[in-house]
Amino acid sequence: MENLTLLYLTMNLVPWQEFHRKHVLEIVGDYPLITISRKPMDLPGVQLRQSDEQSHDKIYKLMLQGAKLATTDYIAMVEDDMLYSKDHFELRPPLDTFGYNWNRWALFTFGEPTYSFKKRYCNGCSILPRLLMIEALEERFAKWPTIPHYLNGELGYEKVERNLGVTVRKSMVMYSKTPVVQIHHTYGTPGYGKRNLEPNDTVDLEARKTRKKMGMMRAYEIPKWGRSEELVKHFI
Amino acid sequence: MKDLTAIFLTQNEVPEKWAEFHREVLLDSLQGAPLIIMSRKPMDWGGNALNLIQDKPKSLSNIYYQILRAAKIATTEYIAIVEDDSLYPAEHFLQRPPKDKIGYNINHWSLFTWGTPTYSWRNRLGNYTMLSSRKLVIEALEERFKKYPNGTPDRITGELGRPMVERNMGMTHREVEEFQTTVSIINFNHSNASDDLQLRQRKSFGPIQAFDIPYWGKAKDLVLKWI
Repeated sequence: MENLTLLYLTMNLVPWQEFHRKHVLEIVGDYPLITISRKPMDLPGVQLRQSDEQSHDKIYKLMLQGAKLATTDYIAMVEDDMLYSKDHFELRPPLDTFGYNWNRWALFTFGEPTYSFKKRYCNGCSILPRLLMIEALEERFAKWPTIPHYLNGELGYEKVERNLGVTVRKSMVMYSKTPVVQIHHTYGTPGYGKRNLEPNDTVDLEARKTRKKMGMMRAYEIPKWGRSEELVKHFI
Repeated sequence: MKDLTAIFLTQNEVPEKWAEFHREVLLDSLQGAPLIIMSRKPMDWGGNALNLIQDKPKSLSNIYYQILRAAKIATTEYIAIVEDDSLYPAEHFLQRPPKDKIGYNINHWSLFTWGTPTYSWRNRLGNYTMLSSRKLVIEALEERFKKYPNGTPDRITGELGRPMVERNMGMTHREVEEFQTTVSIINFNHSNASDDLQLRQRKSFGPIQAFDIPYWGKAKDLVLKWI
């Protein structure tokens, strides 16, 4: 029995749903799978439904729901705009520490197809000790029944937890041997940005979806996933 | 560019054709900035390049000693380290970190001259990416060589501003400012280097890897320049 559960969250809005469903079938192996989707999906494991609401607050509430349902020591978040390598799921932080895989390339569906890298945590790259995850999320929601978008963020991310006024829990950077890829697109949970807009910030929500900047370290071809202009074509 | 001097460190041990290629790329990127070449053999580049011969045996300590010598000769506000196995984009030399911090460009790829040609990155600072206030570098290095007048031990010698290095050497900790350019610095890992792991070709790739990157192109093509 594997000691990690894949917790797959999807709003079924991304255009490559069938491609990604097949990808999930390839990576799931013997891991238990919990899918929380808006529509029924042809996947093994436990299936739960979610509402039409798109918010970061809801994502973390679904994570808590999934973590409580799972029975394994660890949870790996699986997001519908990410492609995973099998060895990503072999990473294990200590049980008192949230782990984040930094071997992650972002690939934008707008602009020149380019992989880019930033030194930062990403929820879809997380390997989370389940009991610690429950403890941390319950603490967050006891203090904040609804967490404002501008305060929300990854578990163990010091700045986020300080701003939320909750216990700062340990986190660590890990690297899988093979990279994972995260597609940046316009179907995601709206990020309204900072609480107070800069003078030149647009208030056009559609424009805000494509204003995200690439990381400075960039590539056109990477191991396993090949060329950026080819991979991005799957996101249709 | 009048406020920055490039300090070029070379043991003159890199392959001849590579040295020509490196010179061409470097002069193009420097765009006329002053250059101080610290070499083993005389190197007459003309123009505003000044050449000094390294006066200590090859060692990690010597690298920093030669930087100190050059930094004292320079007169500009900033200095940038240039190593003979690294390629720099022009925008690197346009960066100006705060004067009270040691600046490092963290957009750098390693390219090994052995194994499958692959760009790789690991999360650590490299002396070859340092661009800092000249006075701050002099202050930090004078503190080192005051405590270690016969040279710093290789096993604890390392980059300015790295907490572990400064702690091990018993130095004042100086803050680091990480900056990034859009085009990367490329650092070749080869068997003429000072690093023992490179000498024995035992060094492993960093965890973030790529085969083709903007500006510099495919790893398999660029590595061919190392001849």
